[in-house]
Amino acid sequence: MTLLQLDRITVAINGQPVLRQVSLEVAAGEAVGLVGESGSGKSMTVKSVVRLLPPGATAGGTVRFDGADVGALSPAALRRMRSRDVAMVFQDPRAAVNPVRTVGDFLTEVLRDQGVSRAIATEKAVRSLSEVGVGDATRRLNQRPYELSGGLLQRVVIAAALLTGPRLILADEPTTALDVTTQEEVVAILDEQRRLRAAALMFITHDLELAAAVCDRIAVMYAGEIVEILPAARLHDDARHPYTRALLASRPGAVAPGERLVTVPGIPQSALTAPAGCVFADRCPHAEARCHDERPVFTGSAACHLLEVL
Amino acid sequence: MLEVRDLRKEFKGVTAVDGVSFTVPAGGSLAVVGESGSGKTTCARIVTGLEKATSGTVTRHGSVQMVFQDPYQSLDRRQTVRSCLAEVLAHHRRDRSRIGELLDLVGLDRRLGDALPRHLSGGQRQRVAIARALAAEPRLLVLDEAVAALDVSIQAQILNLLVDARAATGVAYLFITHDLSVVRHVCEDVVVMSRGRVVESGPVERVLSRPEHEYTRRLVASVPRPGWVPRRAVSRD
Amino acid sequence: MTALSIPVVRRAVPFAAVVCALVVLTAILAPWIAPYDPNALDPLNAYAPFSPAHPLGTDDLGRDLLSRLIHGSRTSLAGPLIVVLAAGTIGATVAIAAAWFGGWFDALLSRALDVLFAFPGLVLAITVAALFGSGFITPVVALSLAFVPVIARVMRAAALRERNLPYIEALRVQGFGAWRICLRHLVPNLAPLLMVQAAIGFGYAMIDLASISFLGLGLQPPAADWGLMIANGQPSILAGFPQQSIAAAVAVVITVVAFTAVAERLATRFGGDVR
Repeated sequence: MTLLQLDRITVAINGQPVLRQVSLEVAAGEAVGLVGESGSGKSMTVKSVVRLLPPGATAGGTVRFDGADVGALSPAALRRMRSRDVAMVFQDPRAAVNPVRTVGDFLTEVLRDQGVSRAIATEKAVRSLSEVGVGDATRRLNQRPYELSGGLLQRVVIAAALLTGPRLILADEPTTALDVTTQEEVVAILDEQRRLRAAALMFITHDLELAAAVCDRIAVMYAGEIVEILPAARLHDDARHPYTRALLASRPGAVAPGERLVTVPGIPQSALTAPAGCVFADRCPHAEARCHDERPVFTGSAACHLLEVL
Repeated sequence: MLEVRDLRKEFKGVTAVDGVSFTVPAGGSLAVVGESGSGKTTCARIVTGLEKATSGTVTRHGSVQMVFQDPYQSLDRRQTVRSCLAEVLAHHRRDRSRIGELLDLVGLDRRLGDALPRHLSGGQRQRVAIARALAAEPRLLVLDEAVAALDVSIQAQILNLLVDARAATGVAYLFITHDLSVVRHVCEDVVVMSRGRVVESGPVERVLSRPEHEYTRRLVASVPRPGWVPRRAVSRD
Repeated sequence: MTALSIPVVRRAVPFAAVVCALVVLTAILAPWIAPYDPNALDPLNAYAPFSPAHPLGTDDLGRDLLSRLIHGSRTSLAGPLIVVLAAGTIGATVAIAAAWFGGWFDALLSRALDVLFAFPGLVLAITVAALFGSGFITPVVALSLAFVPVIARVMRAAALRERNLPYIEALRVQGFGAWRICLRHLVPNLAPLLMVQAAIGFGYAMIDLASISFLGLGLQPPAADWGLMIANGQPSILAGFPQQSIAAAVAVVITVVAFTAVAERLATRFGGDVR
C-alpha cells in the first residue's frame, strides 16, 4: 500500500529551481534511501513532504500522504499530520533540541500538547528512551542536552520521533555528525525500532553503503532530480545510471590501495546550473549529442538515454 | 622526517593526549585515526606548532605544512588564488613564477588564478589550500581531515591528487582522519588513537585486516560496506 | 530587529545616503555656498522673518540663520568624525591585540574595557569637559575615550572569531609573523565591520556632542555649531522666535537619522550583530 506519493514535485526559491520534477513512492513500512551529493535536493525533497519550505519558495506537483493531498490540507490538518503521522530526525541533534529545557520536557512536549496527562507522557517517555538503548531513563529525563553526548542526544531525538507512533520517519543525515562506532549504534536502533513499529522511513545520506544497509530501496539524486531508483540489495550489481556508477566507483574502498580512484570530471551541479538536457550530461563519460539536448524520461529504474547501451 | 616521542597535552587539567609516540619516515604516509576526542587533532596541531605540548618531544627534519578540514574557511576570503600563493612563495624566498607550476600540480586551471575563494567550489578551494601548503616545498604535509568535508566524487579527485603530489615531490604525509577507507587508500602505516592514547599501530594492511586491539576491531567493524548490517552494542551508556 | 525590517524605511535608505552626501558637501563647501558671513552682526535686522534675503530668518543679533546653519555643519560633523576615527583606531587596535594574545592580556583588557563601559559616555565627557575646560577639543577627546570600549567590545568578539579561522592558522603554520598576519589579513577582513561600527557611532557621537554644546561645555559663542545654536536659541523661543533652535535641531535630527539608516543598511550587508 502506498503511504507517500510524490508526483512531479518542483521547488524553486526566488525563482531559482531547486527540485526539478521529483517523483517517488514510499510504501507503508518501507525504507527508502535518498542518496546524493550536496546540492542534489535530498533535503528539499524531504522537506516538501511536510511543506517545510523556506521563505520565497514556490512548489509544484502533488504530495499525497495516505491518499490525502498535503498541499490541500488545512493549516490545522497539516499541523496534525506533522505532529502525529510524520516524525523528523535531523543531522545535528544539538540544534534540534532546546538547550535550556530538560530531556523530559523535550520528550513529553508533543504528547502533552495532544492532551496526554503528565504521568502517562512521562511513562511513555521513559519506555521510549529504554527502547532506543538509553539506560537509566528516569535520570536522563532531568538532564539537559549539554550533559549528553552527541550519540546519546540523537537517540533521545529518535525516541521523541517514535513517541507519537508516526507512520513515516524523515531522517536527514541523522548520523553524519556522529563518530562511526556511534553511527552504527544509532542506525541499528533506528532500523530496529522502525521495523518493530512498521513505520516507513525516508533516509537521507551521502553514504551509499550506509543507505544500502538500512533501506529497502535507494533513490539517487543529482541536481534536483532522481536519476535512479533501485533495490538496496542490488546496488552494486544493478546500478545502471552513469552517475550512480560513478558514485560507487569513486569511494576509496572501490579499488585496490594505491590504484587511481575513478573520478567524475567537473564539480557537482545544482538544479540551477545543471544542463538543459540530461542533468549529468556535462560530466558523463558516455554522453552523446542527444544527452545534451533532450531530457531523458525516467523509465523503469533510471533517467538516462543510454540505458540500453550501457 | 618526523619523530614524536611521548607526547602529552593537558588542557586545564584534562589530558587530551597521553604518551603518544610515532614516526613518519621520509616520503612516507602515516595515518592517525580515531574518533572525536581521541586527541588526533591535538597531535596534528602540536606537530605543526599551533599548540605547545605539555611534555614530550617533536623532532622535525625540514619544514612542515598543514591542510585543514574546512575548505571554506582555510583561505583568506579577500585574497585571489594568485596573491595567496605569491604571498607564501615570497615569504619562503621562492620564485613567483612557480605559481603556474603549483596550479598545474594541484590540477587547477591557470585561469582560476584571479578568482576569489567565493568563486570556487569546495574541491577547488581545497586544491588551492594544498598548493599553498606545497609552495614552501615542505618535507611533511599534515592533512587534518582534509577530505572529510568534500563530496564523494570530489574526495576521489583530491585523493588522487594527493597520491600524485607525493609521487611528484617526495613529500611525506601525516593523515589525520576518521575514515578508514581513506587510510587504506593513501597510507602505509597507521596509528589508532582512543581517549588520548595510542591503542594500536603498525602497517595499514595488518592493522585494518587483522586488528588486535578491541577498539580497533570495533572501529573496523562499524564502517558501512557491502553486506554490512549495523548492530547495537551490548553495552549501554 | 531594526527599523530596516519595515519596508518603507528600507526603501528610504538611498534617500538617506543622498542626505548624508549633501550634508558632507555642505560642510566642505560652506564658505562658498553660505550667502552671508555667519558672524556678521546686523542688530537692526534682528529676528527677521523668512524672506528671500534670509531664507531662515535671522537670530537675536541679526546674523543670517541659514549661513550659521551651513557653517555649523563643519564643527558639527568634524567632532563626531574625529570621535569615531579616534575611537575606531584605538578600539580596533585594543580589540585585535586582546584577541591575538588572549590569556591574561585579553582578560585584563576586557576588564578594563568593562570598567570604562560602565560609565555612560556622555556623563564621562561632561565631567571631563567640566574639569578640563570647554571648547572643541576637550569634549571630543573625552567622548573618543568613552566610545573606545563600545567599539572595542564588538571588534574583540569579531577579531576572536576571525583569529581562530583556519586561514589564520594556515598563515601561522607558514611561519608568518603576528604583525604581518594582523596587518595584512586580520585588519582588512575586519575593516567592513569597523566601518559599520564607526558609521553607527557617528550618529551617537553627534547627539552627544550637540548635548555637550547645549550644556555650554563645548564650543563657545560666537561659534556657529548646531548644539550651541539650539542652546542659544532658547531665550528667543520665549521671545516668540523659535526658528534658530528648531532649524539647528532639525539639522541634527535629519543628519543623525540619515547616517544611522545608512549605517544599519551597511550593517545588514556586512554581517549581523553590530550593536
